Amino acid sequence: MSYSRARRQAGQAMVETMIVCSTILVPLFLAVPVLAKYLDIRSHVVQAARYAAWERTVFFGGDSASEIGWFGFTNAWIANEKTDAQIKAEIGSRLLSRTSATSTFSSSDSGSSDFRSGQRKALWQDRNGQSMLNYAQISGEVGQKCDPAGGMVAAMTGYDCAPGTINRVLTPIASLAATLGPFTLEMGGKYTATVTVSPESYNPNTYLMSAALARKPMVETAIVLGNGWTADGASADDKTSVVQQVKGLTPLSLLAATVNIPTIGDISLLNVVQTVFSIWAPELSTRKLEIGKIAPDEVPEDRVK
Amino acid sequence: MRGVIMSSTVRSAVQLKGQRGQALVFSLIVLVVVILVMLATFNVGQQTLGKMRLQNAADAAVYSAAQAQARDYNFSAYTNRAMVANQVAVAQVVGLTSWARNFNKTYTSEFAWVPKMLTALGGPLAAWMWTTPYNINKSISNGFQTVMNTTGPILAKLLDGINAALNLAQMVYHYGTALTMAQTLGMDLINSSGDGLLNKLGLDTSGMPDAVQDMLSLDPKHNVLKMNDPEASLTKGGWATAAVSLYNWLRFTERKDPNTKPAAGKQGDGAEADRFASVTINSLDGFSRDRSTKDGWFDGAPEFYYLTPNPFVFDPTRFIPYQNGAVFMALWHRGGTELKSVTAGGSATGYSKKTWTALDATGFTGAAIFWISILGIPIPIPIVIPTMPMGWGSAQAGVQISGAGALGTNNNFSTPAGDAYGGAYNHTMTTMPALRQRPQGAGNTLGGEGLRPYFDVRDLTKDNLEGASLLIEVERKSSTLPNSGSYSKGRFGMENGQPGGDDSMRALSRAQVYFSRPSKLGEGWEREDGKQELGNLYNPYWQARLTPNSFLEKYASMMFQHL
Repeated sequence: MSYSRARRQAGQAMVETMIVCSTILVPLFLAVPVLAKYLDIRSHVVQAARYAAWERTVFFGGDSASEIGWFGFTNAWIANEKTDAQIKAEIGSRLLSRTSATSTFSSSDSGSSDFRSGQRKALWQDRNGQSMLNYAQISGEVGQKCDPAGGMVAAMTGYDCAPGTINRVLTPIASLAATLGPFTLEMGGKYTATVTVSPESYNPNTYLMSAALARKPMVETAIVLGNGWTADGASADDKTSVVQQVKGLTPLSLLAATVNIPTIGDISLLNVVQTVFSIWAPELSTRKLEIGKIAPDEVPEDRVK
Repeated sequence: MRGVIMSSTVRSAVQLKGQRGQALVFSLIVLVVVILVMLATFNVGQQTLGKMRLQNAADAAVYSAAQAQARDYNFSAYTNRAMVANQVAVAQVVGLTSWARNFNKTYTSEFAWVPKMLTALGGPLAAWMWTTPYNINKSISNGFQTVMNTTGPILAKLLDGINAALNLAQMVYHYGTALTMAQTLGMDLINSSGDGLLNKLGLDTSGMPDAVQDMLSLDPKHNVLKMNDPEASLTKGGWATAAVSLYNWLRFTERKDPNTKPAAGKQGDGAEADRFASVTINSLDGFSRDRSTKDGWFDGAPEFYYLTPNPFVFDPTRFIPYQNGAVFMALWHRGGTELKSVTAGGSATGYSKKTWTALDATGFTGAAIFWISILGIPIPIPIVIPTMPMGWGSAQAGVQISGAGALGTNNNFSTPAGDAYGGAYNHTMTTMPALRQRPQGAGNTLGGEGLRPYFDVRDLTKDNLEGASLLIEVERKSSTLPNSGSYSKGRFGMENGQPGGDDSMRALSRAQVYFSRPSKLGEGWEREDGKQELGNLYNPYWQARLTPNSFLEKYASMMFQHL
């Protein structure tokens, strides 16, 4: 080997190294943290789907409750409500924002329209500081498809409602009771959360985030049964309370139901009749004769302490 | 100087000869390391995601199964409360029927001539205050009686029929919920994905007839575990803990019979089989307990005579000489409804609380003055009727009790003899009419069958604020997770799983139902007596929650991974 060739080879090794480095090693090296960041985002999407589904185990009223009953006489469970948009806002603010040990979550999170204090997660950016995820790239929904009032047979034989074959037996019975009175059961409650996050795409030429979105959005689902038919208190008549529920199963209590008469207001015709008769027979007054009385506090003695 | 340069140049040349290709080697080693780091990052990330999804699936499945339990308990509570309310309604129907019969009898009984005679003595007030209302009430009472005699049996049978339906629905739904739990958790013995219990125990089930296979497998579309993670299934241990949980759940409540004294060692519906009946009696309204005028017109109104517009006469002008006629005439009413035990033969004894009987009685009292003149001196001759029977009525619903036993002062569940039927037997004005009714019995039953068996917590000595725990362990093959293996082969191949061939990834989860009626939620939640309510199936306050896994459970799960 001549001196000049050795000299030439020294340069060649360097060039080789540079080529290998620039085309393979550096891109790979830079891609490792990006891959990890994508995985971190994905893990947050998994938990976001869980969060969304489990919110419906507490907020299952309003539009997220299914209706039950026939001929337009339908009831739906009255409970805490939250729209999909509110749940999405909470996910954005609580799970996908930069948070610290001192962050305090509040009910106003559900009204936010950006990351918490506008701050994105510090981890989710490329080495240039460009964020991998914008707020607008988060979407999702969480609801149920069960609709016994719209199509009972489909609700019974399909799989949109709640798990369990026995619900097929109960649905027509509950539908009948719901048609006749205020009784209601959430025959569905299988809440499916789908959270879609579309982070930006990685540009292997610049090793930075590209303006385009990633080819495949991250979609995670979670499914859980909400609404355990727990009564909302004993007797409130604007809630799904014990008394309201039992009224629907106790026909005599329906006789005392109130009707709305214009200029007079809500009035129970039976109670009016009773009051008139009680002029003759005081024992027929509504103080004594409570037709279809329901006493939601009465339990056996061994069940209180 | 030159020599130095030369020598160093020569050394460089020698070194270069040995360094030939070193850049390549260096690059390759770094490349391999970076690629491995990259693949490992991807694989570890996917494993982590898979584990999170599996844990989420386990939590969702076990929570959903506990939710099904809560639904069952709450459904039992709604139906129990409705059965109590319908019993209260039966008592009202029986009471109204009895009341209407008494009302009508008051104006048609064989003693009706007595007040007529008193009013006939004279006095305009007596005519207005007695005769006119008397005739009005007489025709009204006839209508009342006809209505109740017609609708009473219909209503009693309807209410009883609804209770029978509620009773059946409650039982069917309860046992159906056991199936729901198995379906939710995917407790298949065998299934098409080959992860049923028998498959896992190594049984070859492919030879089984299709019908048997169908029977041993559950519809996977109810399986919340697989909905969340299609590859997940219960482990053998998880199947066992789920089965134990199911057994404990079935043992947590029981069907209690309010009509049978429990056998020795059993709690039943209380030692005297009186729990359901007590709740029912305590839920009765004032009309069923005491049909006097007490508390009628206003709270605290005293028990008194029926006043105008009923027949009621008070006429002090009769004390004026030669003003003949009734000074005072009035009716006094008492009545009530009682729950009675009845044997199959129709005698009123035992624990079988299947009959409501009602008794109403109305007594009359009156005083009139008849003036005569002796030597021009007006002499009043008082005619006083301290008390006499005027009306009586009775009715019963449930199993027919024949004869006087239907209206006895004993066998009235918790009512003391003196207070039976609103104390009708125990007041000077109503004792006589009540005793006129008693030997005739309470007539033909309106129908129905009285109290029915119902579900409640089994052990009455415990607080039962928490239901049976539901514990599961689930697994999925980590080889089913996305893996770099599809891109990188050979030396770069990275297999998931653990040494020893077991590549299952596992998660534990536990949930329970609990009873909560917190007073701090304020009006509508707090009990009126301010007490704490313990777990029961009379009130629908059951909810589901996840609970932490104990150390022992985690230890056992790790310990027996290779089973």
